[in-house]
Parts: sequence; structure tokens; C-alpha cells
Amino acid sequence: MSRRLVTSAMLAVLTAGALMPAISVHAADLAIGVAADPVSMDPANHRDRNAQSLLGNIYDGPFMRLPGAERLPALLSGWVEVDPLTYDATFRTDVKFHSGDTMTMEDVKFTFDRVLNENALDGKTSARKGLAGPIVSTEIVGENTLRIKLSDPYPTLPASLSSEGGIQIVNKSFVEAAGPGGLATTADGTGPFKLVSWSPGERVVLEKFADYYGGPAEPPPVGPARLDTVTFRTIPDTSARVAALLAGEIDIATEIPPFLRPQIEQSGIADVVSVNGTRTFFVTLNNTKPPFNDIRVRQAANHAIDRALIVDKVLEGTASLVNGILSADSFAASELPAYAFDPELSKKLLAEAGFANGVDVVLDVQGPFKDIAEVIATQLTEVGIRATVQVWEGSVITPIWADKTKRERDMYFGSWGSAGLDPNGIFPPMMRTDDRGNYSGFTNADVDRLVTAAMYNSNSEERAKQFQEAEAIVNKEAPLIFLWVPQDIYGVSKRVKDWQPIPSSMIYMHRATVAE
Amino acid sequence: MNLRTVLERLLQLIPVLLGVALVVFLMMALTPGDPVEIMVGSDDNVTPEQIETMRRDLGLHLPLHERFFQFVLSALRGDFGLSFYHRRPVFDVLVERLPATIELSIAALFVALAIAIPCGVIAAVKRGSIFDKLATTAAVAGVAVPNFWLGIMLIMFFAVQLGWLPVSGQTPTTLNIPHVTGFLLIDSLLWGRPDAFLAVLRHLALPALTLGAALSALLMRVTRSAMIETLQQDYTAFAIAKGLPRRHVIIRHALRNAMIPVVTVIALDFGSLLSGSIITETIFSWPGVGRVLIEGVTTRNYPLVQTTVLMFAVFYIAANFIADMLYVAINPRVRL
Repeated sequence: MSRRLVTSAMLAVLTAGALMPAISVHAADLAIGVAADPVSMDPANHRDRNAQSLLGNIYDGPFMRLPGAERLPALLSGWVEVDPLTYDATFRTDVKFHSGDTMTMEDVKFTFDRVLNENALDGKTSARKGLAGPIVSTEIVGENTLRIKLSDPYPTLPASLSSEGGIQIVNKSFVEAAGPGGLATTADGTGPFKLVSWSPGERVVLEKFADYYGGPAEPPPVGPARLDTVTFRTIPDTSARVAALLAGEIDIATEIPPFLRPQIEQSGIADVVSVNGTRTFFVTLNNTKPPFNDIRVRQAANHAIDRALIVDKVLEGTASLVNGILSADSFAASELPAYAFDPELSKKLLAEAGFANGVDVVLDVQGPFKDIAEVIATQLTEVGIRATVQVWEGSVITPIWADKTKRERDMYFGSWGSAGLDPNGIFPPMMRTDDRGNYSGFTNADVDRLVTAAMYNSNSEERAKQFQEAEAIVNKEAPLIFLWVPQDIYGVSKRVKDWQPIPSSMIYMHRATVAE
Repeated sequence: MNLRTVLERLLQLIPVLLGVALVVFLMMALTPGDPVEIMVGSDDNVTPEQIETMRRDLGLHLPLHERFFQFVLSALRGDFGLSFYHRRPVFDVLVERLPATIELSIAALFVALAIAIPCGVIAAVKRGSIFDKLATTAAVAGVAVPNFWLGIMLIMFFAVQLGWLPVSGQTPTTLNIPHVTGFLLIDSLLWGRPDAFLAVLRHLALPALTLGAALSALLMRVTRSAMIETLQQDYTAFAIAKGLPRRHVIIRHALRNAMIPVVTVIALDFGSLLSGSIITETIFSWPGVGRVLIEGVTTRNYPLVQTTVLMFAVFYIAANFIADMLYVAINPRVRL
């Protein structure tokens, strides 16, 4: 009988559990479903998209970047270019940390040193040093001003002194009290939200910071956050993320694959919102060996692909075509001639190059992009570039292509991200001779000269022209098969107001709110 | 079981663990892919010098054998190194995640037993009946249906359509249970909040069912065949002939003896429940060790993977050990 009692008790508990309504959420609470945990809460100690998009809510930097506004002063009250290698940044005096401490120049200087100095992070060097620009030294001059000296002119310095860049101001005394590694799990920033709790693998809970200085003066509204709490929930499986959105457990779901769009659109509960991403996709051609050392074969490959069809049918229309390497949203983006889909022209070019009977090549691809690579291979094969798809794990194939001493493979379906949407992040590494991301082995003296000059040119008009001239050469030389920039797709509940995704994938919740 | 046997078993652990450590270490080292390259990714603005500094920081510039000995020596002192990606001690990362995995595995085991034992017994007693056929078919389906599919289907039905149970996670967003043991069912009771306990239970239901489904199918079949065998034994016939109630005979005499193979299967499979929860943890965003391991493998987080696999090896060995002990407890004919 005792067993029966236990069984009935268990049944009762389970039934009660099933019938009990979910613990209701407060009106101004909002939850976001993301694909992975942040790797750390320390703004100086990660190179991670998830940490970055979250920490932008906890920590503010000198500048903030929003679409259409590249240099909104946030913690700054003044910004003066003394000369192309020297800048004076004057900081606001009315800024408070979440702990209640007032932000001082000591904190500012401490933050810059922590990111920029070798071994400054418990004996290690900050992983974000490279994002902060070519700063050689900083010095406090006057009461609230930091003088920043550069090794080279750096036109995009304001963008680097932001949450996407390397600099988010931390509280010196808090960091010192937290001890080595202490900032990995705790936080004391000047941002609109403070960290309440982090349950690794499950969620991060943020709460409105009532004493927030208000953020950049533009765009309105300025002032404390409008939401009471924001929760970032880690839901790695995409189907489960969409299910959570449809069940009302989360309000925003990130990284939605195209095939799940209809499910959200038809739900009546949420909308699909997308924004051009920052990652350019292409097929790298090995320019250093036959057949792709011949420009005619490279052009033939470009003419062989029906990109519009692939975007329409495989990516369900969620990508924008590019004819170079820059996204249409990037600085210095320009109209470039497109390689029209023209199989006959491809065959003709191949024949001229001496491959009238076709040629056999291997197309390398990482697992997740196998389907697209197969479509591309089929289309190439139809014109005589008989491509076999070989599927790899990214961490295996990328180093093979990155090894500039070998260059033995033929083609590689890949991409390069430029979170800042500035050509400095994508053009020099991919297109300068032997630079870090130049997997194609492309080399062109004019491109090298133009790109190097543009990188450090502080005259923005001239700089844009230099990049445009270089990209026109790249377009003509076709070291790659130019493809597209995919959109980042979000599912957003209809109760969310005043929130838009932005290309850098930062998820700023300062201005967002929810309907009652 | 005497003390000597226990000691012998413990001594056997040493070569096994060393062997596991070596194999995992070599496998990770031989898998192509550089952790630093992966960490940096195709990201802008990283100089080769910075990459070199990062490699040095992580100790990757040392030769392979030095790295192995360093790992073993520090592990003996309880220091399992820093997780490359998290930049925190591996041990801290794992300890945080372990209770969630154990809690889910135990819940899955309970679900499996609650389904398998009664179904197995009834199927054996009513052999050849409709129930037997249905149960056997369901068992085949249970083994055949992949975890990720079952999980998503359960979510779509119970969470999205009916709205009875939550989609994912371990607790509701607004509920922060103070961590004492890390096991949320226990912590919520210690906190004195029955509503929190119920909330945790609701979150546990679907993942436990998903993870337990395959095991319950297996256990059902084992229980059924073991029961059929014991029901045919002379002592069962004798007990019935003696006039004991049929129910009493089935539960006290037949089932108890039939449990011997069942317990063995459970003990052996509990290890795989712990390590096999990877897919279930991913679907239900359950903050367990399985997900950390997957992330560790894809990012070539050597210390994290080595330590996790070592830990799973210890669990397997412990599960086997417990199986042996239970075997003795249940079956007095066996002496170790």
C-alpha cells in the first residue's frame, strides 16, 4: 500500500506540474534566444560574437556604432584630432558604474592599458588588442582628457573605440578586487543594463541600470533602458529556438535558417526580420596553378554559376549578390559589373584557355555548406569544369588553404567576415599579396599599392576611391567566384517594439521595449 | 565483497585512466586543426605575432610529449589546466555543468524504469497477447527513433501545440534557484519553494523522456525475456503449486530473479546515459557536460576534452563497479 501511495503521489505531482501555468513573465521583461553561450564576461578577454553582442548592453565604450551613424560619442564629451597620429578624447564626468562608483580617468586609462599592453591581462595579452587600432600610447592630459597616439594614421579609430572594437570601460577598483580571472564571470560596467546572474549553458539575466547616464545623444530616446530585465537564453538547436519563440518563451530568436522562416511567418505570433550580414561568401580559386592560373578559366567559372537561382531556391532569397568582396553596406562599396550567367560564354572561354575537353577539379567545402557547394559543382560541371565536392571539417581544411607554401588544392567554398563593415577588415587580408586571408594566391602590384595606401588614409573620400579602384581590378581579375552576402535572420515576437537587428550582430536593448 | 577485491579494483583504475588519458591526448593531437586559428577564425585585424603570443600562452609551442607529461603531472595535483576558449580552469567549467547532466541522466533512468519494468513484466506474463505485441513493437520503435527527432516532436506537441510543458532550459527565466548542491530538484526543496520544485520537474519531463526512451525500450525487452525465463523455472511452478498468490509469485519470486540481467544492463548503460546526453542537451538547451564536450571538440579545446573524457571513463568504471556490487546483493549465488 505504501508503494501505491508513492505512485499516486508521483502522479499527482506530475499532473499538477503539467497543468500549472508557466510562471508568468513581467510586462517589461524580454528574453532573447541565442545559439551559444558567451565564452566570457570579460570585455577584454574574448573574440566571440555571442559575448560581444551581449556585453554591449553591460559595457559602454567611448563611441557607439549604429547603422548609418559610425561614430556616436557615448562616454565622450569631446573628440579632437590634434594631428593624424594624435587624438584627444575627453570623457564625460557624470557616468556611474553599476556598483555606484563614478567613472574616472583612472578607470579609462586602466581599461586602455588592459587591452593594449602586452601581458596586461593576468600575464596574458588581451585577445582584443588587434581590434583597438594601432595605438602606441595613451596619456591623461588635463582633467578629463586622454591623449591617444598612433603608429600609423587610422581613419576608423572611432569605430575601434567602441563595443564592437576593443574598448569598453571597466571599473579599475572592481577589477582589482575581483582578482585574476574575476571579470570572466562578474561585471561592473557603465552600460544600460547590469549583470544579475549567469547560469552557464542556460542563460544570462540583465537588469535595468537606473543610474545610466543615458547613452549617445542621438538617436532618441536618451535615458535609462525601457525594459526592466533582459535575458539571453542559450538554445543551440535552431528548431528548438523557433519552438521557444512560438511558445512565447522568448521574444527574439537569432540565427534562423531560411527554411524555418515560413513557420515563423505563418504563426501570427512573431515576424521574420532580417538585415544584411557582414560576411561575404565566395569560392576561392587557386590562382597559382592550372587551371585557375589562367584568367579566362576564372572568368569562365564566374559565368558558369547561376547565382540568382541558388539564392532563390537554396537560400530562399535571404542573400544579396556581390560582384566583389565588399558588402553593399560596407564603406567604399561600389557598383561593379556582374558576371552574367552564360554557360556558352564559359565554354568558349574554357576552349580559348586550352580546355576544350573540360578539366577535372576538386571543390573543398565545410560540412554545413555541402548542399550549396553541390549545386555550384553541378553548374561548373555543365560547362566543362568537372568539379567533385570534398567535404571537410573547417578546422582541418582552413589551415591547408592558409598555408602559403603549399597551395595544392583547386577550389574552396568559403567566406570572410568584416564585422566593422570597413574594407580594412576584409580587403587587406584577402587581397594583398601573401596576406593572412589571401588563400587564392592572388597577387597584383596595383591592388597592393592602392589597398596599403587606403588602409592608413585619413581622407575618407580619397580612401573610398582607392578601395573602389582596387575592387574594380579584383572584379576584372576574378581571383574568386563572387557570390553573395547572406542576411542575418531573426524571429521577433509581435510584442517587441523599437528594436531592429544591425549588421554587426550586436543586440542592443537600450531602446527596446515590449507591448503591454 | 571483501576489502581486498575493492582495493584491487581501485588499483586497476590507474592503468586504465593513464591509457584513456594517452589515447585521448594522442587523438586530439593527431586531429588536424589549430585551436588558436579556430579561436581567431576568419576574423579581421589579427597579426601573426598575436597568434604566436596566443599559442605561447596556451602552451602549444611545447613538443607533444612535454605537453602530455605536463598534463598528467598537473592532473595528479588536481590541476586540469585552463580551458582555452573560456580562459578559466577546466575543472571549474565542468563542475558547474556536471550536476545538470547527472540530474538529467537519473531522471531519464527513472523514466526508463517506470515504463520498462511494468511493461516488460506484463508482456511476459501475458505473452502473445495484444499488449505483448504492442509493447514489443513500441520497443523496436523506441530503439529505432533517433533522439533529436523524438525531442523535437515532443517539443512541438507538448510545448508548442498544447503548451503544457516548457520548450527548453532547466528553469523558468524568472526563477533563480540558489545553488547549494547544483542539483536543482534538491536545491529547490532546500530553498523551501515547492513551486520551484514543480517548475524544475516540468522542465525535466521532456528531456528525460527523450533521453530515457531508447533505454526504456532496451530494458523492456530484457525484462520481458528474463521474466519469461524465470516464469518457466521449477521454483516458480513450485511456488504457484504451493498455493501462493500469483501476484506474489510474479513479483517476489520471478521478478526478483529476472532483475539480475536488468540491473547489469542498467549499470552498463548508465555510463552511456551520462555521456550520451549530448544530443538531448543540445535540443533542450540543457546546461550539461555533453554540450561542453561538443564545443570543446570543435574548438580543439585540448584540456577540456581530455578532462571530460577522463571523467566519463571514471563514471564508466564506477558504474561497472556498482553493477558488480548490485549483482551480489540481488543474487546471493554470486560471490566476488
